[in-house]
Amino acid sequence: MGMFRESFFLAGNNKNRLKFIFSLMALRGIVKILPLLILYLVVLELLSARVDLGKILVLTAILATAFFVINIWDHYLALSAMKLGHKLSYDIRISLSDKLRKLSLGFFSRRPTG
Amino acid sequence: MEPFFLSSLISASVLSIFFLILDWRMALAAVSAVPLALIAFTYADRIAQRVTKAREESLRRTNSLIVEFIQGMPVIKVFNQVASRFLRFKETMRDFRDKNIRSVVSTTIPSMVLLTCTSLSVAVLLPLGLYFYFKDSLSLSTLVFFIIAAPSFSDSIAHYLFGYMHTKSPIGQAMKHISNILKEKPLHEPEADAELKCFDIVFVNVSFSYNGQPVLKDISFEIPEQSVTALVGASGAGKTTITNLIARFWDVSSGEVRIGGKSIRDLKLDRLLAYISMVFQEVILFNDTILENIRLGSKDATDEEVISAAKAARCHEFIEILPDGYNAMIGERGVNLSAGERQRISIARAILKDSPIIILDEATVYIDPENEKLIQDAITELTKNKTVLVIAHRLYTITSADQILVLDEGRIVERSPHEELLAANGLYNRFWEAQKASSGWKL
Repeated sequence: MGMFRESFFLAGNNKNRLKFIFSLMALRGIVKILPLLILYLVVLELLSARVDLGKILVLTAILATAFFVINIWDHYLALSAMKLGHKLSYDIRISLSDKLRKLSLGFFSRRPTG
Repeated sequence: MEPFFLSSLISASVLSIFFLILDWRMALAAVSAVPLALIAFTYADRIAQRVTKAREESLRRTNSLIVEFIQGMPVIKVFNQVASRFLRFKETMRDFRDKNIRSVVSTTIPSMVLLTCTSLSVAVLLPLGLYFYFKDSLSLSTLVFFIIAAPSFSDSIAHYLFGYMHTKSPIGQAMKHISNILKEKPLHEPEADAELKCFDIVFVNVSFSYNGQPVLKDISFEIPEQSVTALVGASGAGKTTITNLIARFWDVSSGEVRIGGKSIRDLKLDRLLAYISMVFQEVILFNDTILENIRLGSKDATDEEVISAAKAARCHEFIEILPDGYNAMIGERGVNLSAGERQRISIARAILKDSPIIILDEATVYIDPENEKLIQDAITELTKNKTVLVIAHRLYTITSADQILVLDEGRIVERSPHEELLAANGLYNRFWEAQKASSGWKL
């Protein structure tokens, strides 16, 4: 939890964007198990007394669609996370340089350059 | 990485709810390996934290050393320290390499145990599921679902714990480091901004300590507007500290520094620094054109204004004969220029800034006699009608100062113009006599 708190602290004005990305990531966790549930329905159908091939085909189509959606979701997320990551890095660098400007010389004497 | 392991945590949680809905006994079997995985995780995490902390410290040392090694190269070469400094460089690099390897190797076995533990659920689920199935207390469809879903559950748990551990150590430590800097208490800045009309400088009972050691002890003095005050004293007497306190590089421990009747703590830092130009013995120049290096004094200055400042600072002559003139690249830290030329560029910058307070800190200390004359002319241009504070070891350069403050161990022990100080026959006179004697010194 500490790391998430630090993330939000460092996000500064981008807190809402970060929350949005985290929410999408959490939803991804749910969407990711959809194929398993569809497979479960397929298994149920296969083990039923009268196998309905039409239903299995429909479930297969839904499964394919689910994978398609998950892949798009993943790429969108990766892209958004990457963009936000770079934006946060930029903002943190600017905040750091602004902060360093306002610190007394004592801070620099206490700490090594690295 | 961080958000992806968040995703894995949610997947594992949702799956365990489904497991519970389908069959609580099988659900318990599926999560039975989780406590073991958590124990392995706690152990691996502890090791990872320790080795990564050592690695991060080594990285910081490495960065410091690289900067120091490159910046100090002229001194290292001059004092024939290449071999010893290079040895230190090698040792630090070796340490960083070893810490990197150790940070991976030390967590390998705990990580393997962690991954193995998270995969154990299938080994528990299958025999138990078959047992329940043959006892007719579990349907085949539920058993098949558990067998299909269990690896995905294990994978999510492993991904979460493993990802969390490997993100928390290096990235988490870097985040903590940055947060600590951002949370560092800055110098106090007032809400309201104030503009000054007058630029006299007053120290009122100022004391300043550094690391518990008193540097300035209850000193008070006044520098009237448009006058020249010189600070004289042995090294460590507190001369540079006074200039640093005026520019608020430090805040006073007690007392007050006032400019134009206002405490400098009531001025915004940008405003305060806009009123002050400083010329140091060590000149900082950027790897850019001469024109842009001078323009740092006033970012909106036209080319004509820059050239005019360069002429006043006695730079124009040497700039003109450079192949690209004002567009000549100065080189990193001004390596393409002599010390005197660099100093005159910094004076041109200060002239262009045209601030009412000028602080000169040993501005001619390393300059050859030929350049010293040019720099003195440039300084005369710079300090016209300004409030000037000058630190000089060469006392003959400050004989015409309106007042000279003589510092000794953080206190002002004498204050008067040059002639009066000589007549007083005190510490200043002893400095003066010592310099006179040393000027006759020869090999």
